[in-house]
Amino acid sequence: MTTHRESELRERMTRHWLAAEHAIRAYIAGGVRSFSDREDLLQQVALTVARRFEEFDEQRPFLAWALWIAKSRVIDFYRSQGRRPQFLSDDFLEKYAEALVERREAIPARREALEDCLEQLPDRSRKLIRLRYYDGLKMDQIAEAVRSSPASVRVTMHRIRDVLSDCVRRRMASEAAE
Amino acid sequence: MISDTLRMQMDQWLDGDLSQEEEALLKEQLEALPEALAFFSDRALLHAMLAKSSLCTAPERGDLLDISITDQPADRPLVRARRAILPPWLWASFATAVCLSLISIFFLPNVFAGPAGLVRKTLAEYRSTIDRCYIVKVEGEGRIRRNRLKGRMFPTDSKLWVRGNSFVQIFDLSDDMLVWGRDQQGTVWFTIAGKSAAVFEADRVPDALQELCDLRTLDMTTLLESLLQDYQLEYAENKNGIHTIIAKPIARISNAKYGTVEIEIDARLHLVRRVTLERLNEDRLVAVISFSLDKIQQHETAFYDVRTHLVEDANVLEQGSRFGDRLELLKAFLLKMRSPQTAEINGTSEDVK
Repeated sequence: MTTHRESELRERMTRHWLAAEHAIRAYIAGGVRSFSDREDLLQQVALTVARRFEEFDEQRPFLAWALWIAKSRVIDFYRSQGRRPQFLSDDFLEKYAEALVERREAIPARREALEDCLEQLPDRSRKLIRLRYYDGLKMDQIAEAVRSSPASVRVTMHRIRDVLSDCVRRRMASEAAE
Repeated sequence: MISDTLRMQMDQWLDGDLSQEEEALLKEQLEALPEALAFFSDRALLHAMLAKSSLCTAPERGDLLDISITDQPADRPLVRARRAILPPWLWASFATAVCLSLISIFFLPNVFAGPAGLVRKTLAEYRSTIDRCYIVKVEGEGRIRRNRLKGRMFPTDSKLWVRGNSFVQIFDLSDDMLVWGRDQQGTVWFTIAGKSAAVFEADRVPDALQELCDLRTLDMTTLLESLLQDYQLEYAENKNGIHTIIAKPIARISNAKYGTVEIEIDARLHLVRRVTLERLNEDRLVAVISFSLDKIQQHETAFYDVRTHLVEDANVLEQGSRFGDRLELLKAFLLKMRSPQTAEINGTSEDVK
């Protein structure tokens, strides 16, 4: 039987997790190359967060705690791989986590701004973005889908992200000025 | 100032698309340049946000001009037309509809997000990795119960765990524990008391089992996508941030699986608390199914695998076993569930042996 306390604890955990998930995903994507390994690691972090949530001190930012867990999972992942060297050093992983924690409060505003900016993209750019993130295609597969070369798709995707970043920055600046 | 080449390499790394030589170069520069860390953090966040944006989690409107997406009240006519063939009067209607939507967004706080907006945001959250447990009740509609389903009703409440497209459903019956599920690869399996089990690969799931998946389980992402695409959504109630949305099919879709859907969403958590849906078969109502959120918990991915639900020395019929043997076991499983799909399997098992 689920007690009131357990259910309240789970609700708090869910709220924290949903608010932090983007940054945790970003952290893992920064540290690990393959999409499937990233998903597995995210799952492991979620599991550890759920198991150890009672240890979490509400006075501290949840994201810092979750990224501390994520860091050890990334390091464990490379250890289990044996031959393959760790992409980012332990020190850099630490700094990277700090950089994401510094950005945590702006994340909801960034998400809102990004939604608006996506609306303004030309159809072709929106299509490329969907092929990459909705269909989960790699660059060469996207190139095949749009009958282009992988090199050209890479450059185009990079430009689209630049456009989106600028748009988000402008929107947030104008919101702050109001 | 960091070079465009370096910035592009970061995108390539985040896309899983960087060669090993470039990887070493990127690593070196990332660790040496503080501004590279700042850019990398922002870019990785952008990638994560794009993956969970409404563009990448909901069905695309594509080149269809779909006015239903603007959350209009249920009694307003709906228009679905391609941009190129819209006559002027339709453009005028469209403009009016957009104005009405804008008015509702800016001046009516109760419909601030609109039901489709809330469903879209909820859909984005359901791409997350959290396991949710729902209590499932299946009730035949009064008349159906008396006439057609009498004597072959499903067992009582069951618990359904869902994560994305994966699920595990547990029926704790007086005589046996029945468990069935679908893993991340789409493999569907079931066990009777954990002692015997059958596994069907994604492309070989028998129709009867597939129908049961549709009837008894809840693929929340598919349901929410379908609500956005094919339903007219209307707020019915808002109690302490829990919104009730009534969804009605916008057009007569042949062989639609669901009729009217009632869905309760916690707007703060973007969490579906309850879904009640009319299950249709060839446009006939066959059951009313309700899913009520019981708990949220984290499971290992293996929880969705058949092996987690077996006793020692269980007899498992999987790829390589005779398909007919698997169907025989499926028949026993459906009988225990007192499912109407039993009749269907009786009709097909001989054909595939």
